[in-house]
Amino acid sequence: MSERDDDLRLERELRGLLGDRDPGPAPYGLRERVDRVPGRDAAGESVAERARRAIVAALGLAAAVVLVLVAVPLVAKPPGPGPGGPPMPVVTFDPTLHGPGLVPPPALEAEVLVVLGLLIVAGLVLAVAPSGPRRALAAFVLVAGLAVGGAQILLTHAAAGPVASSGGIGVRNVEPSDPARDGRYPVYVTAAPGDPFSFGFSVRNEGPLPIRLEGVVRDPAVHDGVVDYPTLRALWRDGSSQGGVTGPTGPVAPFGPIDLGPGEFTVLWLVWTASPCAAGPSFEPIGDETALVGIPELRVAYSVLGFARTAVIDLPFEILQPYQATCPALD
Amino acid sequence: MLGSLVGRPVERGAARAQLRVVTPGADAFRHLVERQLDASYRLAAVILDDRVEAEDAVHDAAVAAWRGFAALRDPDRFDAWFRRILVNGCRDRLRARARRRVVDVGRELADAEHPRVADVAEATAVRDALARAIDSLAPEEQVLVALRFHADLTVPAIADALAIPEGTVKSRLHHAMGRLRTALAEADR
Repeated sequence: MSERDDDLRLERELRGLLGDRDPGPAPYGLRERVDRVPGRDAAGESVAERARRAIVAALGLAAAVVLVLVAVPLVAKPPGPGPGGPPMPVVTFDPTLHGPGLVPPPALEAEVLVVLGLLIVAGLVLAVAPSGPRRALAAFVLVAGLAVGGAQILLTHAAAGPVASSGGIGVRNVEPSDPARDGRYPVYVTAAPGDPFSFGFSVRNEGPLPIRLEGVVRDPAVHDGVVDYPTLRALWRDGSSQGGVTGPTGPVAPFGPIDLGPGEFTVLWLVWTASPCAAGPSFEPIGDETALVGIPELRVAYSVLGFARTAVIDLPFEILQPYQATCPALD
Repeated sequence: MLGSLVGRPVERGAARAQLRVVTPGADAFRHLVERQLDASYRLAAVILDDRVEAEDAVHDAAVAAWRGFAALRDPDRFDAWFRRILVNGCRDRLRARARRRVVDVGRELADAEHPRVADVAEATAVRDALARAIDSLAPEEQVLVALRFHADLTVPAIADALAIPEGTVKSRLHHAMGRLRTALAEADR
């Protein structure tokens, strides 16, 4: 049998097979179903379908808004001066300055919003897209997006590491003392009630990724409302660009965001005011029975790859404010 | 009620002329769909080899077509447009079916344990082999075979129905026929 005969036979068999599948005219039930299609409503949708589409559209809009809210600050954030960047304007240290460098605690971290937005968008696509390649593509995007987002979160959490703080202390209205039992020096606040005091510390980026220092977290729940605690007022940046420490009496600048590459560091100064119950300059560390209060836990706020992070400032000294046994402000 | 335009009965073939003077609406849509309902159902049944699923495919195509009907600028293209919607829907159903394909254990076991049973009716065996070969084709190729050998569409018409280049139609058809030819030859041994 020749190849042409084979082809003719194949075609004949195919036509026969497909002909066997042919059911003939459409059944009455199908005619009725199709006849009802335009009667659903003017747009060809049932009320339930219209409601579903409206909800899907609303959710899509919400997801888009969330993504824009997350993306715009990440993209539009102006670069901050790094250690090697243009020098900050140096001004006279003003210990009464309030505000600069203190940031509220991050409410909802950006990656949570990103993952949430991805989930919403992918879910919408999965809900709307018919079965087939578009649905498969949406599923793929969902998995890939979550994988990338998860990897980025893990990377920025684990690989960046905490921003460490070490060494370098300069003081104003505080009094260093002998090493304590745990190796941390107690430093006593000698500022009079309501007067400013300050101390410096260095912040080093110990992770492999560049970071941007955003300031020090001032959490109202932690830093406010306790009358015998010192009050956090401002953050200053040391004026030395060569890594030295000039102290509050030297050139300093009000804090602005600082970009730090891996291994780079900067020196910062925190300004506080002593509490109304502070013992003041008359405090004698040895033999005095005055009570002491430490400062609340401090956290530095920074961002890595656009995601907000905080890390505990691990000071090599312990700031202690003596306070009066009989404090009029507590009465 | 099928077959009326603007409240009046419409003769077959007069729909296009009237569509040019009336706003496309439910009655016009019903008429256009009804005109090719039988052919659509038969084509869907041939592609899917399942009459119930074919009914669903035609209904879904009608729903999709009605949603886009207002945007259809050229009513003369309705037939080709609707066929494209239907064929795409059938192709998606074949894809979904391929993802959840289960092996017919009973038939596999019967063939394995009693191979002589299939020899009882050689013609049936060949037909079964060919049917399995068609089922094993890619969904796009199954659709293409049905359009070519059941609907008797030409290559350009198939390209139009599937919205793909003619060269793609030819290459897919060539590939599909090659596999079917092989299946037929094996069934003859």
